[in-house]
Amino acid sequence: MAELLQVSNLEVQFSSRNGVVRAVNGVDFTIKEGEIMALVGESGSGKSITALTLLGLVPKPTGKIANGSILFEGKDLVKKSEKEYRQIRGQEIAMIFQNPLTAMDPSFTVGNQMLEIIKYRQGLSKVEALEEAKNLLKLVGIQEQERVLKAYPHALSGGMRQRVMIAMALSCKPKLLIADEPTTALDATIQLQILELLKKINREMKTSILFITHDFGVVANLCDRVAVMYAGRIVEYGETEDVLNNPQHPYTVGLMNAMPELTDNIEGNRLKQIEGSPPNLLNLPKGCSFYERCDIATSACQDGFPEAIQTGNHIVRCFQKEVEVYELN
Amino acid sequence: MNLIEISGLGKDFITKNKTFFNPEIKFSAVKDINLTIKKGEIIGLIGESGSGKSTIGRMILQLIEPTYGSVKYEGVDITKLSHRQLQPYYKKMQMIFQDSASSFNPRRTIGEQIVEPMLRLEVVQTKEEAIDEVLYLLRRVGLKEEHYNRYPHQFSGGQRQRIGIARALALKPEFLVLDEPTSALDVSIQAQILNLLLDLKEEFNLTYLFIGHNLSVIKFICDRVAVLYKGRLVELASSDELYENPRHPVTQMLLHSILTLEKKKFDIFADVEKKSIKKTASSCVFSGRCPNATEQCFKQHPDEHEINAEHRYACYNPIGQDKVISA
Repeated sequence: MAELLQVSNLEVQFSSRNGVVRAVNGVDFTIKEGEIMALVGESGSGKSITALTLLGLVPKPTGKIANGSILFEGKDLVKKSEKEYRQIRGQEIAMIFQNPLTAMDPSFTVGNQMLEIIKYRQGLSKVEALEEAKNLLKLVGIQEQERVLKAYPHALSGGMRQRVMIAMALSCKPKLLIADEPTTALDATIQLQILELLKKINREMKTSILFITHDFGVVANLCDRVAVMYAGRIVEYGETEDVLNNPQHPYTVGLMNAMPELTDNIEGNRLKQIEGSPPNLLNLPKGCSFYERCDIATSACQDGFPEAIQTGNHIVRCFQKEVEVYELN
Repeated sequence: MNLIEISGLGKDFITKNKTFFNPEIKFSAVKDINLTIKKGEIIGLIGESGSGKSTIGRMILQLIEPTYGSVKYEGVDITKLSHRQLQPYYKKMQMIFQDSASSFNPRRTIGEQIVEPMLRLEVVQTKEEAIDEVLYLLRRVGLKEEHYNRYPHQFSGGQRQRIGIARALALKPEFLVLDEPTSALDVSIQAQILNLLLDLKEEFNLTYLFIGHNLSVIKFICDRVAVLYKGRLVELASSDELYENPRHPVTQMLLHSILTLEKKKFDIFADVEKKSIKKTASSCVFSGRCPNATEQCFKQHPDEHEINAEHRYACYNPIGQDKVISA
């Protein structure tokens, strides 16, 4: 498979009254054509900012790309002007959000919003665009297309709104779809339907998907590869099966142990929690950013951020990795 | 010992008022719920959105007036009491919300907001006592004393949830309704909050009603679980029993939706072909989506069938067999 997107050494910073916030700190990853990649991490780990950066949506003027490159089909997106970006955003790379209600205009009907994009992007007449909109809604599994097109966003259920969002994102047949926690706000039963839909789109339309989540259950069932982010850096990266069956980084192990879905034998009726909270991005420690919450850290971990250690396709950034291999209990 | 007894509880919301030409249109959010909550247990309410789980929680606290049925707290029917007579019960029963941020006043410090109800409901006599108590509670839920003077927006999601817990505990309650307290949180924060809730339950001898839609969280924290669908209680069992021996198709559907590391076939319940018989108001609530539905299911909603004192369900065609318990 050819590489669709190649992000290398990406750094995104925000200037604030109290200093520079290092939201993304040297992130490298690639997305191949037709694959689903997961970006996993806590809130504040920089996963959403990474996604917005890919779309050229870093909030200005406070935010800036300090370093690195984003190669999309060989072209560096970092160097693109705002005008050139408009041809890529939506057309080549599209995004769906966690909360579709805030991503749609409440004062226009769904049909109105869908037709506007289709007419503008594909240059179709109103009648053709209407036909196209119905096809898109059918593709995402909506039976009553007429009713949905005439409805306002607030009148639809959460699952239905997310389907409409996906249909809108697909209207320009993007090569890359970024899904920012699209199922977190949904019921577990509806979540299954949306995941099934994304999988179908990936298979049938060959759309690559960057899936942002914090749920390893979703990752295992949907994604080909996974990158685990912590404090603006990718700490573990590899094929889903390798990473989930044999997690190497203590943060990955900690996250998996904290999920009641994955732990059967719970000691003393308490979940294993990761103590403390993520470091302040204004003032990142010199050493490993996970040092303060890590069970296996030694004083050597304070000296610098660990280099990537690669075994096969599995990359991990931890000093202790060679000393001891962790098992999930 | 039963702390709360709910019998025949129901709530109809009026969606369209009566006019000269049109009759009023009602929507039954909750229908005929019978449930007892024992002292010191954690009981779970689980269901999809719109299944009426929050409405039940709010009716127990008298935040919504039930249309019919009764809620007895230690034998006293509290649905019939006046606002003044309810005063002692406001102290005994408290609620923790999913979105704690929106349940705080953004213009006042969290300390002030916790102290005020303590004085108003006379849990403590002087302001000094109240402040001491709040500082202790803040430490107890994992915050620092200096947080007393901060405003709600200065906290992260997990910290806000801790403040919500501290506020509920300030009135020394016996019974807490937890309305999806962790659904908006990250998994690592979720584990911290769930562990904290379990610790506090032991320390303060609390009883919890835990509302959620994630069956694995419910299984971890609850002793017994009630499964709801469209306002009806469809199955009630201990959480281990529910996991190992689910009888109602709704329970099976919810169990199927838990994603673990094993790959699974996604959508077994969406494939159900369109039924030839139309669902009516009196049909079983799940008949439209149920893979096992028969003609009988469309005629009338089934009565509850009791396997034993701990396990009951409402279904004509349950999954599996009744376990025969040999003497």
